[in-house]
Amino acid sequence: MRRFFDWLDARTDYRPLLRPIRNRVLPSGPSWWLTSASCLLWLFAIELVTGLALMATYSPSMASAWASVHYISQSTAGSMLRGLHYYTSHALILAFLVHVARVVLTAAFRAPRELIWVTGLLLIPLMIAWAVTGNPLSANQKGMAQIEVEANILGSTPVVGPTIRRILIGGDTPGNLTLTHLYFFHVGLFPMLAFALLAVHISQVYRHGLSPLGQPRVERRAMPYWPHQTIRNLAVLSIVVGTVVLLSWRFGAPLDAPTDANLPQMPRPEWYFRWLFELRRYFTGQWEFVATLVVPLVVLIYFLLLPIVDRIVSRRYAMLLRLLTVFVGIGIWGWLTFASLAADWNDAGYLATQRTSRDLATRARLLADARSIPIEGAVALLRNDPKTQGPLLFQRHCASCHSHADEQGQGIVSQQVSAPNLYGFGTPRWIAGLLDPDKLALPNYFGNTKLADGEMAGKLHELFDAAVTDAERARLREQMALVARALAAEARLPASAAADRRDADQIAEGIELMRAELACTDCHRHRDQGDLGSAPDLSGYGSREWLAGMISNPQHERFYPGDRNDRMPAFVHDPQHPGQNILNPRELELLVAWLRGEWYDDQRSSTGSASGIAAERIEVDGQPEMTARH
Amino acid sequence: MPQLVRRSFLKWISGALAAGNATVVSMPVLSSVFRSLGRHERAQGSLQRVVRLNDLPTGRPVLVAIMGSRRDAWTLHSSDLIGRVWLMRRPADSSDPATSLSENRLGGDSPILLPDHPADGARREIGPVPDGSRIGSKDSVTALSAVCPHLGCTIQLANDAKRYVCPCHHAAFAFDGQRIAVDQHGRPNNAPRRMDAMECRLVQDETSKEWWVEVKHEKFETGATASAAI
Repeated sequence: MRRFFDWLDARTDYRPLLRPIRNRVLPSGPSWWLTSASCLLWLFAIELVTGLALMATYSPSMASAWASVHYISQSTAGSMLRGLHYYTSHALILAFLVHVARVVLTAAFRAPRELIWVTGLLLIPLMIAWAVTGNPLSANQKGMAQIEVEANILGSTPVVGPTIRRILIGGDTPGNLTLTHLYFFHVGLFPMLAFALLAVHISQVYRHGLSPLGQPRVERRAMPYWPHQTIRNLAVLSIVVGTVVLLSWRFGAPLDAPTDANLPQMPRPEWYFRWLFELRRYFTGQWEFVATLVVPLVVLIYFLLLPIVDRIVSRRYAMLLRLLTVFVGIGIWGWLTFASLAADWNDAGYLATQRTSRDLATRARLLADARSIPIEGAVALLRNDPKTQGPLLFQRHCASCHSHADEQGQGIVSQQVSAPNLYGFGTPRWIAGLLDPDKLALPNYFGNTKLADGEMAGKLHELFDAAVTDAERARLREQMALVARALAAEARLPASAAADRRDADQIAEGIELMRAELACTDCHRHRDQGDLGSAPDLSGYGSREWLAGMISNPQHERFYPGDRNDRMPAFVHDPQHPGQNILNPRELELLVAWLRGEWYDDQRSSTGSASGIAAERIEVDGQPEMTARH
Repeated sequence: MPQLVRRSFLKWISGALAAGNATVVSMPVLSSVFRSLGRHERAQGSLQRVVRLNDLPTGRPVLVAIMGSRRDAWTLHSSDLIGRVWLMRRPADSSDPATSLSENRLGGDSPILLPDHPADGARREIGPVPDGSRIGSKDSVTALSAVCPHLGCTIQLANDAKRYVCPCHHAAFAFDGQRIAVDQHGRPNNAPRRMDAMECRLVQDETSKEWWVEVKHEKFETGATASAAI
């Protein structure tokens, strides 16, 4: 080996180039104090390498950014890679703060090391801007909301603000150009600036050597850097990297839901901005610029001028000044950060929004895992998901009259219930309640409608009044249960397909009762028997087609013609002009699917379905195919 | 002597050539990066139907989505969310300051300054008196942009449903869009101005005879004390 390097050196003369490294001297001997610099440098190197590897797969556009990042995190290696890049960036910022504190405490900024100090300090805002431009690159809800607010904060800077904002966002509204611009900053411009600053910083460190730590003492003799300091550096670096690896392995980098203005959001800055976020609580209104602009600039300028301040004051007070700078600085920073976090942790609204965001993110990733991402982009995952959109649509359009809540009242509860509770609509249990004269007039069914004492109620009372003996009554209830079972089968709920096959005999019996003995078809139509116009059609009751028809126009002759309809609006009164209807075709489809409990769900998630009906949806050649889940 | 003249001339011409090359190259570089500065996406400048009047409850604001076509650099979204608006339908007599005060009366004894004049930006253009008893002839609807004038987050309804709040920096507004001078934490409000009003009117569909709310969607500069449409 030795001979190879001799051979190489004879041709390239590389050994003198390495001399500065080999000959580095520790004026006060090795120290743990000096480890922060090397730790920073190697964390920086990890960021470069992992970032470069991420670039091999990442694609910056609104249609593909989230998709490509999710694609990366689908493999274990990719998930680790994202985790390393993410947690190292946080470690880097923390290590920077530690390094600055160390340099201030040891007064390592003194002449002739001013340039080392200045270039190092300028790297901090650059590093933070670098991290800030990285967070939204996956076009996730949280990151995009953050960058929009941050850009608007920069935008309110006098004179240059609007220009900076437009360059960062790439126009007025966040979109494709936001991602390409952020990408340009994150992987192009900022690395070049960082290299320039680092080049000056490190060459100056070599030029001037390490500053002595404190007063030279007898036991602290000068020693060579390699390997006495190197081993300490590597020990610290290993602890940091070990933590980062553990976090990446255990949690991976977070990936919020794809950005969508329709989804709820409550953006909060990353931890390193929390102190400024909290500070603006004290500088409101016209004084806001103090928190957003003046304080960060003053802090930066104070630190930049620290070598001058240090020289002006006497040696004794200089020590005190440095100690105060570090510990008061950490104290104020820590207190503001904690106050801001504590305020949010005590805010129920914030916690609820966070929970919703987490659920949406999990849901988006589940759907992306199961189905891969459609051409229009990851945003379509949740937009076309009945489980996500159903409650929102119901809340917006139905909940002024209908509830959708289980026995415990969990779900959507209408403030002024004036129509049936649609939780579990179309299931045997729900229909059995409707066929019970004691329940029919309760608020969960027709209680608050004019149907509470309509013909159906009359007919049911008539039937039950005619049953005098207990045996007769029991028989009637049994018959009603069979009718409920048969009607439920009309809905063809995907979750009960197997049960419908199993109960075929009961269903046939129920249908027979409906059409003959109980004479339901005197008023209702059921397939080829009975007429429309007086009561809702029982053919396909609760099926997708039936529900879509009922919601579109309840006054249609199949449902509640004319004044039989009690206040329910026609949500699609003019199918020829979709723009003029309350619900567009897609919304109608989503709402119906949600009411029927038809959505994809993970086998493992047990609490998947809001309507108590769990279904699995598998797409086969684009044709949705329903299979029951057991 | 001619040798020296020649040298300084060569230096001068080298400098000029280098500067010329740098200019030629940097022009497309800079104009490409700064291209987005001139890229203003104008929102649709016309009134469009956003919701049926019958679907708006009275006295309670409702957040309504405004759909439209939106161009995102190279992608055209023909039907996408382009904005959101808080619509508030009021019966005829609520423009009376006394009613609007009591309606906006905020719980607790916090010293909240309540606005005493109704929104001035939102016009109400009700056509002929609609038939049917559900719509009073003097019902009015006001439309306020749901984009916070502070830093652009989406304004939400406060938990007590008595005012608007922004979840980002706790800006608070009364139902007519005026800033509430002191936010719910008793500190001065962060919002630089009132909520931005959008032009809004009621129109009756000729065929269905339904009343619709029409809103003219606009975007406004955030952070400024005066409302300015982009």
